[in-house]
Amino acid sequence: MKIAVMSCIHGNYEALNEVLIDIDRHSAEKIYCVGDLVGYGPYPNEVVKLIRSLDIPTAQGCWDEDIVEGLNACECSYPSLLAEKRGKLAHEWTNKEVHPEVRQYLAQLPHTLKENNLCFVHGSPNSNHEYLLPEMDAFAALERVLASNADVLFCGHTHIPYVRTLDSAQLQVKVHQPQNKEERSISFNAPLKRIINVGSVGEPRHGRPNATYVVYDTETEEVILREVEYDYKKTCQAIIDRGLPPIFAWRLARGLEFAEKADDPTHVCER
Amino acid sequence: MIIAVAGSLGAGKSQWIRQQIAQIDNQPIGYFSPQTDSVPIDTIFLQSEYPQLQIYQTGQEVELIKSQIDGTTTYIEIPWYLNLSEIEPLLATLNCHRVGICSEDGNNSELRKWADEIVLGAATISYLKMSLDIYRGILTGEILDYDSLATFWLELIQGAYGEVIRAKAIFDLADGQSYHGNFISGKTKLNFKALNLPPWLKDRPDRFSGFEIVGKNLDKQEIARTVRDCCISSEAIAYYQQQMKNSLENRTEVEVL
Repeated sequence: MKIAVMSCIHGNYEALNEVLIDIDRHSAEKIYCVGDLVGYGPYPNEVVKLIRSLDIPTAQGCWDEDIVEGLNACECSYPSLLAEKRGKLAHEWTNKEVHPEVRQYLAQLPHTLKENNLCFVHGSPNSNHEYLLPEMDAFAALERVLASNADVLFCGHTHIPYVRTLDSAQLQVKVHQPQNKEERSISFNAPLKRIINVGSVGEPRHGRPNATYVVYDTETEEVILREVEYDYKKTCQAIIDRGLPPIFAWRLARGLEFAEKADDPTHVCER
Repeated sequence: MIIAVAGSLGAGKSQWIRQQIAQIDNQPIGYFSPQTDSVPIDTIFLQSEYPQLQIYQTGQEVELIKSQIDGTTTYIEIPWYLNLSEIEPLLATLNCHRVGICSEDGNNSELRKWADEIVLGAATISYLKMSLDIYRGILTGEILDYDSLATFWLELIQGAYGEVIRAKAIFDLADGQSYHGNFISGKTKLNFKALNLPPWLKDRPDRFSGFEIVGKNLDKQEIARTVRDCCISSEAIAYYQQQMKNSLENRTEVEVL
C-alpha cells in the first residue's frame, strides 16, 4: 500500500492544496500528517479545516501544542534572540486568529500515531520539540526508533527531508548499580531501522520555496521524497495582507524558513 | 608626506591604505578621514590593526599640516559621498600626493583628472551619488547576539531590506569582542572579523559600534527594528560577561620549559 506522509504545514494553504493534488497523482491510499498545522503562515484555520475535512490522521506538532497550552517552549528551542522574537510574534498572531473549534481540534491530537510497524511523530518519540537531525549520533537515533517500538519512524520538525537507515548492530549495555558490586552486561542485536523525515509542506528550509513530503510503499519499502512547486507568491502576499511580518514572506520565498533549530539535536525539553 | 586617497563607493580605499601602512617600517603614520567622525568605522578598523596610527579628527587640520615636518606619512581617506571640490581648499594647502582608486568600468573621468596616480580598485561599477540611500546607525553601548546578527546580516546583504550595495559595521558581541563587518555587492560575502581590541567584560561597552549601509530603497525602519531585536538585555549581558570572566580565569597556563 502506498501512503503519503507530510508535516509542518504552518498555515500555508496554497502549499497544502498543491501537495494534496500531487498525492492524488501518486495514488497514495492513505495520508498521514505529523503536525505543525499552524504557526507563521497566514491561514491556520483554513489548513485545519481542510485536514479535518479529509479526515487525515494527524500527530500533534510543537506549534499545535503551544497554541493550545500557551507559548512555553524552552529557550533552547530558538537558535537566536531574533528567531525567538519572530517566533513570539508569530505565536501571538496565530493565537489571536485561531477559532475555538480549531484550538479544540489541536488540543486532542495525539503525540504519536502507530500503524503496524510504522510510527508517526512530529519531533521524536520523546518530545515533539526534539530535533532528529540527520547527523545525530547513531546510537541516540537508534534509541529513539526503538523507543517507538516500530521499524520505520516518520518525523518532521527539522523542515529538511531525509532518509536515514540504521543498520542492524550489535549493542552491549553495561548496568552498574551502586548497591551491587557486580556489573551486568546485556548484549542484543538491534534490527534494521529507518528514520524518514518528511520535510515541510508550508515552510521549507532547503533553499527553495517548494513544498516537500514523502510517498512510502509499505510492501516494497520504497521511499519517494517529493518536492512540489506551488504559487508561493500568493502565500507571501497573504502574509503581508494579513499583518504578519513581511520578513516571513521574504524568507519563505527563498526557502529559508525561520531557522528555529535547536543547537543541541539530542536535547529533550523537560518542562 | 601626505597622501590623499579618493575613489568611488566600495572601491577599496581603506584596503589600499592598509596595504601601504603594512609596508612602512619604523616611521610615524597618520590617518584622517573627513566627515566620518560620528561613524568612524574605517578609522577604528585601521587603528585596531595598527595601534600606533596617529588619528586626526575634523578640526585638527593644523596638526595635520605640522605632521609633515616630523616625517610622518599621513593618509587622508576621502569618503565617496564627499565632493572633491569641497575638500579641495584643504588639499591645496597640504601639497599632497593624490591617489585615485578607480572602478573596473572606467567611469571615473573626474577622479582621473584629479589624481596624480590611479589604482584599479575592488568596485565593479561606479554609482551615481544622487541615486543612493545612506543609512547610518550608532549602537554604542549595545551588545548583539551573534546568531541573530548572522541572520540579520545575511538578510541585509541578500536584499530583504532593499538593495544593498555597500555595508560596513562594527558590532560588540556577547563574547566581549568587537567585530568588523564588511560587504561590497558582487565582491564579498558574509565577512566578520574580530578587531584587535581588548575584550569588554564589564557593563555596556563605552566604545563606538555602529553601521553604515548604502543602497537603494532601503527600509530603514525595518533595519532599525531588526537590529534592535538582535540586542541583548542588561541581565543577559551581565550573565555572558561573568561566563567569559570565569572561562578566562579557568584557562590553564602552559609553560614551555
